[in-house]
Amino acid sequence: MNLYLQELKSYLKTMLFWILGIVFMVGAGIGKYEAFSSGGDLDIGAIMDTLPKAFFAIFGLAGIPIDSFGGFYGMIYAYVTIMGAVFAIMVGSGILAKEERDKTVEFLMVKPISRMKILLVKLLAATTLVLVFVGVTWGTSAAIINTVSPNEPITMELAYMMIAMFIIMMFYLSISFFMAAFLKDAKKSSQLSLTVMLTSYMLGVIMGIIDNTDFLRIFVPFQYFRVTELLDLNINMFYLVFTIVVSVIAIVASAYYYPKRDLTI
Amino acid sequence: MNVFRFEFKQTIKSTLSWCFGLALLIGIFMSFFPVYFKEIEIMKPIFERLPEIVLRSLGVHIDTLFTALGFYSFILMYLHLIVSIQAIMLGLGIVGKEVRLKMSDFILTKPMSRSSVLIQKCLAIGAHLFITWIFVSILSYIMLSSVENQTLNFNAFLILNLSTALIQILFAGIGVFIAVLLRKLKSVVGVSMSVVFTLFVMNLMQAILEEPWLRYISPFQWFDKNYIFYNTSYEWPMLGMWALVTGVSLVGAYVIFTRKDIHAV
Repeated sequence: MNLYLQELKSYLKTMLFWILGIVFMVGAGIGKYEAFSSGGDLDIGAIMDTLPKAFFAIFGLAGIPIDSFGGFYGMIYAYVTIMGAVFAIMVGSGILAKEERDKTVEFLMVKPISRMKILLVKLLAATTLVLVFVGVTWGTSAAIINTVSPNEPITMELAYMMIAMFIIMMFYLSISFFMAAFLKDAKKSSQLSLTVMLTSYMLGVIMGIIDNTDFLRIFVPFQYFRVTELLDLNINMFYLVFTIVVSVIAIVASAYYYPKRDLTI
Repeated sequence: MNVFRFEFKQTIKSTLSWCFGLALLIGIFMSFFPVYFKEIEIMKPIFERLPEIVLRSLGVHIDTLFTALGFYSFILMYLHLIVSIQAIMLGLGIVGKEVRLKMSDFILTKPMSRSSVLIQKCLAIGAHLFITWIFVSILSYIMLSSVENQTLNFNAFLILNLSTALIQILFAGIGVFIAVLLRKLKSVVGVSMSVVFTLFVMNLMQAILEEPWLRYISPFQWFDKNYIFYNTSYEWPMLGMWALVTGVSLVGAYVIFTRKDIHAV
């Protein structure tokens, strides 16, 4: 319990900055809906189907149908999710590795708690931080949507998006957590997590501009739960199971390797 | 020049892997251009008939849609994302190394002035950035001339390509500045990712926000491709912002580093 509180405390300042960022993103984004909805009377959806995706990406339009409030919010959701992934990787690769990096690992290890317990408590603290991130996004979004557009409640759509965001964040969290638990070198493990994130993001960009690239989807967590599907209150079952299985494997593997490996002192 | 040589050798491997990643990015994206062009070709006569004023109000230049260089200018945004992460990591990593590893006393007790230490480190960073930039330039030029079906607008290419170098210098400067500012530097990857992705997502959100002032604080907006295609030059106010931020970072880093209290442990 002490360790749990200590972890949360050490991330308090970081968390506050992130909360500010989320509130700004969501607030400024949704606030623009009025201007956005009145501006375009083009039937973008219909034109989009007839042309290659790249054309629109180059034109500067996102690949999400923005003819409804839900679609508009979907764009903000997509941006916040990118930041969410960054946050999850930062926490996941930092929370375990920071003891070795800051040379505090001996201090922690001589306490009367097993390594397994340390690992689990840290995982719990990291999950709490992700929950706070999603919770703040959810709360701010719901509150602002209510004031900006009370006639178009998207409560259920919002719930689906937030659950999807939580799953994606947990997926990145468990992968980077595993890297930190498995590799001795904190620098290497965080660089590897960064590589994973950048690669998946770039593959997502390729998917966004080139047609017939669906086979790449499995490498792009941002594409597991598409906004168009979430707006139909439909969560892709295959990817839901896939993310949960991969996350659980990563965590079990962390719990297997971390208690055994040599620590860098 | 010992510090320069040492720092240069230490990071050369990582620079080579960045180059490898960038080569993949440029290679894969540019090889998709012919496919893209085949699909888009039918649209060309329609756009050619539109008067320039309409295109301007849509915020596009015809060359950004129908030439390989235009396609390249679109990829440039993602290229900039990658090089900026590399650059800020170099700045933070090389200048912040002693702070991070708590061994500032080691380097500062050498018979060298602080300014010489900092300048040599900055030169090492510059050398890595230069290698990456030359590599990117040559590769981009080869890829572009092999897929371009019209005469390559060489001036526009030079300006676009030079903007990559400007982005590199900017982010390296920010990294160096943060490194001397912080009393303790925990995770290079964590700080780099948060800074770069915050600015990058800000740039993406500009699609919704469309706030003129936001362009000034989002470096990824400073080298607008349509402006470059229309005017074959940079936007002066934005270039001014670049000079301001880079100058303040580097001069600020120098002033602070040469006179701050540095703790031995």
